[in-house]
Amino acid sequence: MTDLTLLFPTIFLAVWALVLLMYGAFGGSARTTAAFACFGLAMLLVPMLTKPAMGSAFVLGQGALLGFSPFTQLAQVLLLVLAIPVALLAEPFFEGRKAHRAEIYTLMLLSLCGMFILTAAQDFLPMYMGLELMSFPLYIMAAMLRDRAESSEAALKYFVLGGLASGLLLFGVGLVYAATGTTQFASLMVALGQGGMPWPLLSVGLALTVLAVLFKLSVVPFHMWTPDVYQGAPTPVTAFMAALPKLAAIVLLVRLLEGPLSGLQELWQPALAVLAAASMVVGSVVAIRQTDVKRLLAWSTIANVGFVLCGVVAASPQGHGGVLFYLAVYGLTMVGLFAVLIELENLQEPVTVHGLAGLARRRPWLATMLLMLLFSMAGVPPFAGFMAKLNVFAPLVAAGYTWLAVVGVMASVVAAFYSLWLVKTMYFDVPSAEVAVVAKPVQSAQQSPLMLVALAAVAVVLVLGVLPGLLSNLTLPAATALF
Amino acid sequence: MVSYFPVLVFAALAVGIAVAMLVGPWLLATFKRDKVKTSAYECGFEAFDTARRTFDVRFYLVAILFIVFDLEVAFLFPWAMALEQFGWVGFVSMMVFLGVLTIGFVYEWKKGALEWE
Repeated sequence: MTDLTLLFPTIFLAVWALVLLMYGAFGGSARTTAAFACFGLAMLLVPMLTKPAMGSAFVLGQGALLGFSPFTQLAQVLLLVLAIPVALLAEPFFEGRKAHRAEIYTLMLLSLCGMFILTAAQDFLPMYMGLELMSFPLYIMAAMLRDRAESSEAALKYFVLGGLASGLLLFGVGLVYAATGTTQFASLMVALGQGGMPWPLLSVGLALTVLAVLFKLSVVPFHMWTPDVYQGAPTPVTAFMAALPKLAAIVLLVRLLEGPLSGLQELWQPALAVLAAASMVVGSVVAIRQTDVKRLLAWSTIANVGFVLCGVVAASPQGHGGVLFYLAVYGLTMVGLFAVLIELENLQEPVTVHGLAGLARRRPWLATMLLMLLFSMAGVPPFAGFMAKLNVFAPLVAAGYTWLAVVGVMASVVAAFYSLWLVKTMYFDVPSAEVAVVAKPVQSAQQSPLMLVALAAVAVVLVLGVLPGLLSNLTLPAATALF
Repeated sequence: MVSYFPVLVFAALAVGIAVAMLVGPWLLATFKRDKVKTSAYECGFEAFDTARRTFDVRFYLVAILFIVFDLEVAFLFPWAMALEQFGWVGFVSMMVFLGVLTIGFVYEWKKGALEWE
């Protein structure tokens, strides 16, 4: 019998999701459901911070199904910390739109539960289960705006391509099982150490499993779903998709590559380096051509995942710590950006690059917050985005991948261009005639959670930019204990 | 790899027999078509309409809601037969599974998914 205290956060999330579902079904309002969801997530932070549980759950033979380490623990805390502001974003957006509003929180919590399983997975079966439990609520949440065709399109596209990725993953796991007779990471590590394996079978299987994770991360050859899904999905759901699953998937990738696949480092390191370079370049360059802000942010996600992969390619504790640091800062920046975008959508502002023209005059506060978050995305020094990029590029140079760091810096210059282009549009461009007519007159400061979330994001980005040690003192020790 | 040789033999046999069954009649049998033989098979009366037309989405909904509980029964039979070997872990696992399904059932009931109108 396994120690269930290890699984407490995961079980709590699942149970809390069901409680919220019942509360909503028996007439609870969406607003109070949102409050209960945030309350539950905040309460869960208490035991996770005070009594972090480490060890293995469901021990079978050489390994276990789930393994909890400081690395997974910190990743899960970061996921929770990011999930709370995202949950706050939903109600201001869905209020007044036709959707099942109370169910969104159930889906968010179930997806989060899947991410918790995914981060802790030490076997291909819980890995698959976690991946599916993370993805299925995402497909449903993308379709939440039932009367909008783009929303359904995004969900269908995501579902079909996600299903394809799951199929490839299962096929890969099947091949690995055929070659080694195990689905456990620990036994696989032993089997890979022995040598003399049926190589084509095993290498194809391993490649397919890694590929499925790269699909979830939207790394370049597997990125085509990202812009359409991000643009079509309801904006708070896009924030959720941008901030959270990436963190869970990269934790799994790091633990897969540094665990069972650590013996094959000379194989996956150059391959991932090429993919990282491709992601950074393609994401940054294509983002310049975008006219829709959500689509632009989707391409920038692809570029940012490339930056994060640089930390994985470095294959050192510094690199892995940088990965966590980068994704925490990036996730928070995205949540802040989407909070401002939702506020703009609610104010009937056009959320296109040209529609932002003259925003600084119409809504100086929103424009200022967008400015700071975009500066952070661009990697301008006083903000946390700069420290995040530094934290992945420095270990990369130390690992001998200077060419990749050079490509990364060049790509971030291109990325800075489109961020600053947006800033220029907001501050110096004159709005076209129809935008000036459509936009409502300036209102007094909004008392909604949106502004709270955006302000918090700006504050954290500023503080972490000046004092990066606050977070990197947590991520670096955690990255030295991956298992 | 040698241990997989029977699988290969079996696959070759399966493909061979299937092809033989398809090609054999085509070579050997006699074909005499008439109006009754080539018309669509219907039990009872003549086909009066095409089946490929839109019908109410509620049929799908009922079918989907039904299949969940159909599969639940498919799980329950083997579970009941093997419960003695599972012990309490097996019992509690199934109760959790049934509890989750019950919550889903309560949800669909409260949401009115079971009402036809």
